[in-house]
Amino acid sequence: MALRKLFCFLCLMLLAPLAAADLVVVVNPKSGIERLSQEEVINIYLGRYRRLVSGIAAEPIDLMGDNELKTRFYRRLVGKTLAEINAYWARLIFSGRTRPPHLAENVESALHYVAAHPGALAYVERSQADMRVRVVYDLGE
Amino acid sequence: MSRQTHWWHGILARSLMAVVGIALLMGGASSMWVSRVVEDRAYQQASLKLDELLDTVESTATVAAFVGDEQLANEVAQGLLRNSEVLRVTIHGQDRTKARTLARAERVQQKIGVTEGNPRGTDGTAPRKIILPSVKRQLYSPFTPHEAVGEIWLDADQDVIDAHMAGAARFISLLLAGQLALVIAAAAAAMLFLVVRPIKAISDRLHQLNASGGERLAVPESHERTELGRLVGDINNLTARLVATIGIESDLLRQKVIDQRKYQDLFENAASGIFVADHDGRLESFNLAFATLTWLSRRRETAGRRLTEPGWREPGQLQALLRNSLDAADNGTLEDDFLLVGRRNDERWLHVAVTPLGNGSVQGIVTDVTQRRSEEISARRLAVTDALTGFANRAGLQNALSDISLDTPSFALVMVDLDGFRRVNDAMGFPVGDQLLLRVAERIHKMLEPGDRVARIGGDEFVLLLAGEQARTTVGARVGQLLQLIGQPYDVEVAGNQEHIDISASAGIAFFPADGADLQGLLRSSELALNNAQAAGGRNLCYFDPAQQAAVEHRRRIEDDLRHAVDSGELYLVFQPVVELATGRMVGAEALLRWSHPVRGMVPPDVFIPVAEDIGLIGEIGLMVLGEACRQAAAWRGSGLDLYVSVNVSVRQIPDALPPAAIAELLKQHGLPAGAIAIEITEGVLMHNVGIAQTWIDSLRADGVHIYLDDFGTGYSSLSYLKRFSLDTVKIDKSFIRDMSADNSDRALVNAIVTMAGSLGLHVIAEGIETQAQLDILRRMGCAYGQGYLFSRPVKAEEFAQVAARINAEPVPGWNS
Repeated sequence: MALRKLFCFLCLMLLAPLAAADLVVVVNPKSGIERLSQEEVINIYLGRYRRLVSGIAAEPIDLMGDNELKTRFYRRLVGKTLAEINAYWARLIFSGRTRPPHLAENVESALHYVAAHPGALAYVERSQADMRVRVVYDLGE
Repeated sequence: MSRQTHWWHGILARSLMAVVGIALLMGGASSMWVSRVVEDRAYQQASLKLDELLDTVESTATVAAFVGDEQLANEVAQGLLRNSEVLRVTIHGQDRTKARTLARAERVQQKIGVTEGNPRGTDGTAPRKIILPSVKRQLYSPFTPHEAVGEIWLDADQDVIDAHMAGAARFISLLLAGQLALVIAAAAAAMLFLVVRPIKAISDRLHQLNASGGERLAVPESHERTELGRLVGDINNLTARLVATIGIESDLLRQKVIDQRKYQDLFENAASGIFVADHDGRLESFNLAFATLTWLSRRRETAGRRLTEPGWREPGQLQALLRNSLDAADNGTLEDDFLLVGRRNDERWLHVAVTPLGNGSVQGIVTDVTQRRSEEISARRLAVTDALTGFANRAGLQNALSDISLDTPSFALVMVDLDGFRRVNDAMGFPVGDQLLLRVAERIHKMLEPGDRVARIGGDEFVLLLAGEQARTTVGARVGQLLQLIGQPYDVEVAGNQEHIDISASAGIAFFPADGADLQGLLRSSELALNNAQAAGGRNLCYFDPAQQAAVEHRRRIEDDLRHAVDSGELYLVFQPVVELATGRMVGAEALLRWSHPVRGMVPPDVFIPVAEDIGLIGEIGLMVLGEACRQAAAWRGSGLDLYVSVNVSVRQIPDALPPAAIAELLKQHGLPAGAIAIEITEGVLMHNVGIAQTWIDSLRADGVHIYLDDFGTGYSSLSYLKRFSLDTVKIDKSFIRDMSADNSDRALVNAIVTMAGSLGLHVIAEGIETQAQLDILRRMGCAYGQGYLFSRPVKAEEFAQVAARINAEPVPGWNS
């Protein structure tokens, strides 16, 4: 049994470089969140849930501008283009009550912010997730 | 006649009202339908619109619900409320597990408070048919399409929709009303111009039309072929007929007035009494003549006056006449004479003829027929009276005995006849005869007893009815006395001189009811008895003998049958050959008449010939016999039998019933020579009237017809007759021939006749030859011809040819002694 687990782990390890494109959602390890469902990720990122399950105010972090990672993220998550996501937010911003995610200049700053704020979430490539953060949701590829 | 006319009676008004009514009905129905449709469509559109509204806000609302953004939701809701149809918007959000209302917006109602789904029945308007339900739409997450994130409710504003709908309905109603008004106006105009105006024109014209002046209606323009045109034509026709009828009517009326005046004059001035009365005889009117005739007072008022008022002898009969006339099925005139008795018992006969007038009353015409009645009475009296003697005549006797029956007491009827009265009349003239009759009548009258009656029924025939005389002896004694009395000489005046006349009378007596049940029977019986008395020489009386009656009856029946026989062909001829004795050759035939009676069988000629002579049939029968004989002779001659036919002629046929010219005509008609027919006469003919017989015979002989003297020897024949009359042949009676062989005197007589005839140049025929011996004797005597059973009995025409052949074929009988 142990052998087999090890084998599997080894396989995964071996395969990891190949799946460098994998996107994951990461949180502050202090957030108290172990895992998130796709639905929870959607609700948090698109402004529906303002708090995490643990009761901390959720602070999703988006990437600034139209980059490849961001595009992939939304396509993977809700199957929409960035334009559509922008249009969505445009309506909400108008009312003023709901705000879109904070914008980070890049992945590093995003990770940084996550590491600094217990309610923050960010999406990064799996390879970029380090010890400061916890992967709670894997978007796969 | 004219009736108040209101505008609503007009065709226009009526048809317009009808059009309007129908249009309103239809309009109402269609507008109801249309408003229904409009309503439905308005609701459909409203719900469609709400759906579309939802479509436009759906994505925003979804976003708002997704993120639970109340502000956004409110914005959406407010935006929706800007649509007038939207009353209320509610947006619910669903967060994880709990739902919450994100936004709720409602229009502020200005009108009466309306609560959701509450029908507006409270203010009395019609309850709303359709309530639009709230439109609800589920909101799903924009990112995970299956996840419901909330819902949006939309309530329509019913009032607004209703207002829309009402507006639409109003518009359509207005449209319909407008159309309706146009249609009505068009219909009215059409009616007015096409129907009402022409009719009014016709009507106005008709009002002032002087139809009797020949005016007629004109057909309205362009209506020549429409119903109006036809109507005008019909009215004109009707008018023409009416005018014609009225013309006839007024002519009749004028005529009637004239007639009435005429008849009134006739009525008043008529010489006949005229009255009109009802079925009870109440007088309705009468004229002056009626009053005069019936001795009524001349008061003209008729009230309460009756037809029975005058003094009629039989008012009931008059009343009945009236009723019968009224009851008569054929309304015939009935009439009768009525006796009127005046106050001073003077009588007047009035003829009343009544005719029903058809209204339950009768009209009567009364004329005075007193004169006629008295004339009738005297004429009636005259009719039953003998003018000479004043006795009853035959009709009077008939009247007297018209009612005898079996209950009538018996009486004797005596017929008295003067013997030889005709001689007196002939010799001395009628005036003397009448004088004599008067005197006889006086004597008869003298011996009549009470209850007896007498009548003169013929020239010298008196009939006495002797009442209650039953015993023959009493009657006989009285009649004997009467005959005695009549038999006394009479003094009569003849050409200024008194002369004695002796005359006797005979009487026949019959008794009722033994000798006859009625007058005819009694007269017959007494006449028979009288005949007997006269036959016995006159101056005598006889009683009726019933046996004689039977003989008379028998004879009468024969008479009747004989008349019938002549018509029905029961009489026919048979023929007996006449043979030349020397040669045995047939030379002729005697025609003999036979009567085959259907019941009695053969009736002998000596029975029916005298009857025929008496009743005057002999002439007809004789001609028939002669005609038949001629026909037969002609037939035989045609078949080669050269025979003559002899025919017996009675004394009564000479000379008028069988004139020589008729015989010649018959011969000519059948194409026969005179010698083909011989006439057989008896000695009686010669004796009866010598002069006439001689002329007749000479005339026939001049024509060439042969004359035979039949039954020679039986009568009081005088030989001088043979010389005096020019005869051809004598026929010796069969009685001589029959007894000839036994009796020498007969034989001598026959021989003498034959010899004498020969010397006078007459032929001889012996009748009734029955034996060869007789034949031989006759031959020896030189008798030329004979007939009898030895040769043949008389046979019918159809057998005759055969008999002739047999006789002619036989060898000549030899001399037997």
